[in-house]
Amino acid sequence: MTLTRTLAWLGTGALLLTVVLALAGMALHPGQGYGWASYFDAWLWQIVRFSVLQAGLSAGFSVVLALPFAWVLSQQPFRGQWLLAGFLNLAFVLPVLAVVLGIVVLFGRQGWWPLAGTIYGLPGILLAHVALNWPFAVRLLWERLNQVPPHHRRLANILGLTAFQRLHRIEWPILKAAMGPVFVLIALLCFSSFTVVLTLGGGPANTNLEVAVYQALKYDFDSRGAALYATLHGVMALGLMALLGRHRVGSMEMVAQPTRSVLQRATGVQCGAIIVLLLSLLAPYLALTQRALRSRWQWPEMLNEAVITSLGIAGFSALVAVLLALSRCVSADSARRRSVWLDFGVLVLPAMVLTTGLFLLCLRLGWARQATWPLIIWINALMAMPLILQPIKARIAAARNQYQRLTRVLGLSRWVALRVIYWPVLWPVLVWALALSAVLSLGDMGVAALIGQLDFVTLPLLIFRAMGSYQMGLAAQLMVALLVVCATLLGLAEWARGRGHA
Amino acid sequence: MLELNNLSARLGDQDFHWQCQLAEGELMAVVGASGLGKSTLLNVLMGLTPPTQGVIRWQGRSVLDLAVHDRPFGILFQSHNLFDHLSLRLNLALGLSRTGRLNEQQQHRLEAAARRFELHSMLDRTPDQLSGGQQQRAALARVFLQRKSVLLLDEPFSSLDPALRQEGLDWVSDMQSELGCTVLLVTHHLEEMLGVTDRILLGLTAQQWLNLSVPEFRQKQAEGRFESLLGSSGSR
Amino acid sequence: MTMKSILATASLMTLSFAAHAEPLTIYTYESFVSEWGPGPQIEAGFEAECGCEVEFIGLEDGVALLNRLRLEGASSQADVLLGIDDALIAEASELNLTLPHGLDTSDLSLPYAWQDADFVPYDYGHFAFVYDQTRVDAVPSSLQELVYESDLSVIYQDPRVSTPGQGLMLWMKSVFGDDADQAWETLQQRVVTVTPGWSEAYALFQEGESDLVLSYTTSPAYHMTWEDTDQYQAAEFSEGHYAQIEVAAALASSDQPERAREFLAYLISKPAQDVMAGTNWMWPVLEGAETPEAYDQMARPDTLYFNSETVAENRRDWIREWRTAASQ
Repeated sequence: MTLTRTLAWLGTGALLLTVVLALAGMALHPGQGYGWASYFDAWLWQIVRFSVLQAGLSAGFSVVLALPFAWVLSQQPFRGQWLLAGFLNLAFVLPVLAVVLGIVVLFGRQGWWPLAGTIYGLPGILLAHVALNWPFAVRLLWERLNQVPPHHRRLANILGLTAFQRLHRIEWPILKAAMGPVFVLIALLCFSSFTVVLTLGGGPANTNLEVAVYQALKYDFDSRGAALYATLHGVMALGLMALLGRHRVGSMEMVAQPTRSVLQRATGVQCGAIIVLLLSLLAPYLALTQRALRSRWQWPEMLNEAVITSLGIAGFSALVAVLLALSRCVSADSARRRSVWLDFGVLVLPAMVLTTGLFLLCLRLGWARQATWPLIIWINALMAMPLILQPIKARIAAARNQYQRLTRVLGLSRWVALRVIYWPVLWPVLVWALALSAVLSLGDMGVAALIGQLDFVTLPLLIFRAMGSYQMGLAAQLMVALLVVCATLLGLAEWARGRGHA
Repeated sequence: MLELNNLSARLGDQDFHWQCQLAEGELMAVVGASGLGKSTLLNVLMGLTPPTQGVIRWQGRSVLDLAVHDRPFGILFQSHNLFDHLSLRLNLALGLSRTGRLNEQQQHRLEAAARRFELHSMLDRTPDQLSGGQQQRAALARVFLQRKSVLLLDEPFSSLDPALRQEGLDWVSDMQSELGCTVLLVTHHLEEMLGVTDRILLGLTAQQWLNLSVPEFRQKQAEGRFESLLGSSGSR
Repeated sequence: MTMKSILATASLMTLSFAAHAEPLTIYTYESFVSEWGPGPQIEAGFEAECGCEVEFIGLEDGVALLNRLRLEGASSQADVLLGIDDALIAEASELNLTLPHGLDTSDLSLPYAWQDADFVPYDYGHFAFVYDQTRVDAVPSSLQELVYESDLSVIYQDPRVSTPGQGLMLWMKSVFGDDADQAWETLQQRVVTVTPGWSEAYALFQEGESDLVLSYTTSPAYHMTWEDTDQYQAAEFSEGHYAQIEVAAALASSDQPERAREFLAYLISKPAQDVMAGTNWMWPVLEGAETPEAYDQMARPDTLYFNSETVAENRRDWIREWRTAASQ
């Protein structure tokens, strides 16, 4: 009891301390700021409007495009659907920068299908956001449709309902109910988008609040402005979350596997949908690979160091993220319900603010150089934690429900229970969580870009710099290397989960 | 002698009350409509649900201040009696040693019990590779290895078909006669029990329980006193 | 516990990176230290002269450099700050983080009379819009014409981070005065993108994304020298061109101020000045320093400038004006 409670308190304490220290750091910011009134100008209105507009449009396109695909896929369980579900997850987890780069290579001036206007601005942002979130929307809606009870489908068959009647009577009500939460969730993610807006925004007109925080700190040296934008961001994000309410749509867990016997070969329409999905999903990556292969392979001096740094950070932050997530679910106490908002901390409080606050504090204390690694590791862990928390929590709760009585009856000690019960049940999901957090940290650019000290270089930073000097070939090559590492890790994750099912 | 003296418990807003005695080595069937607290009784005895008042005595000594696993009771639930991811061998071993590690003598006992319950060929399988009947039999074997004086059985065979249910009961009475243990068995299938049971604890309400011998029960049943209570479940 | 030890290990790793020797650390902008920039040659030259080690640290662009210094304050690891420009000096001086250089800079050739006790000028240039004469023929002859009459597309740099971007902002201000917001709004309709730094903008322009890019009057010399082409030209504007003087200073936080001063002296000596024109593609400040042949063809336009106190006083308002106008 004491062990788990200590762990839980440690977790909560660390999270709270982070928030407090970050705020303290922000308060110590040497930028003096300006009169409050001067912030409430046309530009503020413009970025708020743009934040909402791009989030709404991105989410709208993603959901509308997802509807037909989710519907077709749900018509009948088919062989290999877990693989497709895995692919749909992939797009959501892979480095955002890969999609951005893929979009530029696909639709840029020299791309496969050059866009009529410029890729920079709203069109590019929307393309990237849809590429990131559309597959996610397909998976969520598909999962929801799979919850239609089998006997409803059987009944519909017996009654000889056409596909359209079935859609109208059975599936549409479910889709209609699911669309709202999925829309809000994706809007929330796009609202907080950083890398996409920063790289494809192309000017002050296309700035969202998250980027405005970054620019206020990094460009204007204005902590008050940053605090204002961060607060606005937080309030609006909280509002969106309240809209989301209790709907639990954000799980990264895979579609539940139907029993083998009902799996059939996919129908023609399904095959078509799958092919279209896969092609559009893979197009940016294919374009990237093709672009990478087109140029002579280069081996920049910094590459070795960047790879080692990236892997080091990913490894450590994955470990910390998992420990943190564990500390958030080991204790079933009601005490931690009060701190449940901390589970979503980074989604509300922009990572930029946390990072800058902590970084400033370290600068003040003269630890800036030494703190680079711990800081980046810790913030990346904080960002990964909400995404891995639910599955771990669910497994622990299930194991606890099923076995707690038995454990007591047999008088197993905490240690034995951990060894023989919880560990065998948990390790697959823990390996999965480790791999997923590692992939998320590998792709991070924002945190490293903000506090990246001096000679500090990670793989995404190297890619960003290559992109910055428009060495697209090199950027594409580095990105392909990064993607290979990510894919390997995700493969490991899937393997672990497979072991979990057996 | 197992004594339940003025024993009460509370679950949500429902109060339960029991009062009964059972001689050592006897088998008692616990029957009554659902919601009267049959399973709750076993959980209170086991120490999984704390009583609000009253005493539980075994052989004259109160068991209330004993930890769950130190009580002289072994329990079988309706389901989840085994760890699904562990081999049958390890599941049984946990009945002998709280770490699951066995010395040579314990190994022998495990093997013997496995043979006795006809599980010997399945020791390296996991529970999901066994049938429902085999799973509950394995759980029974583990309770057997625990060497507890009192068996608490919470409808362990109710999800099985009648033939397997009968087989399960046979295993229980074999075990009872070999170890001389006392048994409390919650059931919905009283008719099947009448041949083996010594006493019947019949719940009229959550607070009111009758402790009857089989002849007493038959007599009252003949008078039609329990039609409304046992109705469908008693004769199903 | 585990986490603590992980953090400890991680910080130990960074410590060990930081542990080697004590080089002269110089904060500068990224293109200065790139393979083709003046950094490598100047580093080698000064290292040979002083028998010490020099470490250049490239940070985005000029304005970011100043912000970095503000952030680090007196705890900065840097000994020398190299690469902010004349417009930012008043703001930098306010921080009281620099040391007097003690050098005589009165003989240096600059676009306008300028001296400072702390900051040493090492090169200068005039901002200009560069175009590809094989693709563009209706080249505007004034900023007025570019903004209000031309239909050429433009890429420029963000005034908040980049000194060329800031230069354009000041240029617009000095030409259009109070009507600058209107000019920005008009120009914005033909802006392809606003980049964070010079190199991004120039690379995009070379990929053909725009007709004009904000750069320097001397940029064509690069293409003439290395690519042997006069395809790229700088448009000459009749209002005059906004000037930029790049400066360096020793920092008070330095634990080797003498060496820092030696470096500043080296920076305006002949060996270093000979390197500037052919690598940084700006005019050297030392009379008689070598320049590539192509410089003879470069225009010497009229100079526009604000003194740096005026810039310090108005920078934020002008940036807000630009930000708002450019977002319409």
